[in-house]
Amino acid sequence: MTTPPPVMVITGTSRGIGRGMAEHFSRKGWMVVGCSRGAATLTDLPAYDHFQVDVSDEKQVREWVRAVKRKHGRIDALVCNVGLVKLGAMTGVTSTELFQSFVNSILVSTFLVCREFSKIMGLQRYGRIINLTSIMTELHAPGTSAYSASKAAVVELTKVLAREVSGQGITCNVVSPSLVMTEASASFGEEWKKNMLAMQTLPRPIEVAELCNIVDFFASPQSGCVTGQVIHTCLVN
Amino acid sequence: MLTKADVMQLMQESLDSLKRSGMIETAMPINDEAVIFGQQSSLDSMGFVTFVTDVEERLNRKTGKDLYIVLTDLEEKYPNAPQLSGSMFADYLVSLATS
Repeated sequence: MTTPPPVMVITGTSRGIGRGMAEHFSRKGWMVVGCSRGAATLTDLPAYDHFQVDVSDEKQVREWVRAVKRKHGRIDALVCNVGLVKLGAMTGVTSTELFQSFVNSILVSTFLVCREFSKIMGLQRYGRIINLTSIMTELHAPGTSAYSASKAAVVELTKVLAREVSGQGITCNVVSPSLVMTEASASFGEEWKKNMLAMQTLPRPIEVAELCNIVDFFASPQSGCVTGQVIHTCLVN
Repeated sequence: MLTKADVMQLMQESLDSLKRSGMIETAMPINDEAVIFGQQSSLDSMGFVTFVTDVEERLNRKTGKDLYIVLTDLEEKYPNAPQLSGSMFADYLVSLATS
């Protein structure tokens, strides 16, 4: 009898960081369960299952989590990679609607996904929750109030949750990437990229594989003593 | 048709199972007056979350339905109640299962 592969849920797998992580961990022996608002864009992975879900919608998240549990039996790791591909603005000209769209897309989505999966992990008495934020939470860069505040709130959410579930074999940690060259970041243009790199300690873009290395560490069964931690890339803060 | 007695039994099975697996510390006999949430409950906050999650799974298995326990619905059903008793929770679950 063969042991089934561990199950890793990754949100936002249609493109960018989420897609790269799904490819990496599927090839590494995980059963990856991905999701996005649209249909699957990954079709040739050894162990990949896609769900179409809007993670900012409470009802959809609940139904999705239950469907994943029913189909795969358990969830060993959750990588919550949510975001909003949109440039911010100076606070003085940021509309309430724009601010709320960042809060909903980043903070509320992370809250819903973590809440539902942490309950399943609690019954399992095991789980690894890894939330993705951004080094922007440390840079306080003008024009990022909505984005950075939402991401910083995810850090706090992660730490609070880490304490709440610490007795249930669940760890919660944060990966805080610097500039990763994806389609989304490329769409912001060269000037934006140059400014972004100038704020980093190590002024170079990183590859998704470098983030996977950190996720791999947090997701490992051997990392049970590491919780509530944040790892930034390319930044001394 | 799920009765209140069925639900009380389901709740007891859940609590016994959680106790056996070490997810809650104290054995808890369920009855109408048993305090599930609030002062004097032997379940701590995380124990309550685990209990509700487990009961939800058991209820779905038993009814074959896709049911969700929504705590704000409980608050609306029992506004200003200082605690949640076994009877109150069972009544809520029966209404949920038969809705």
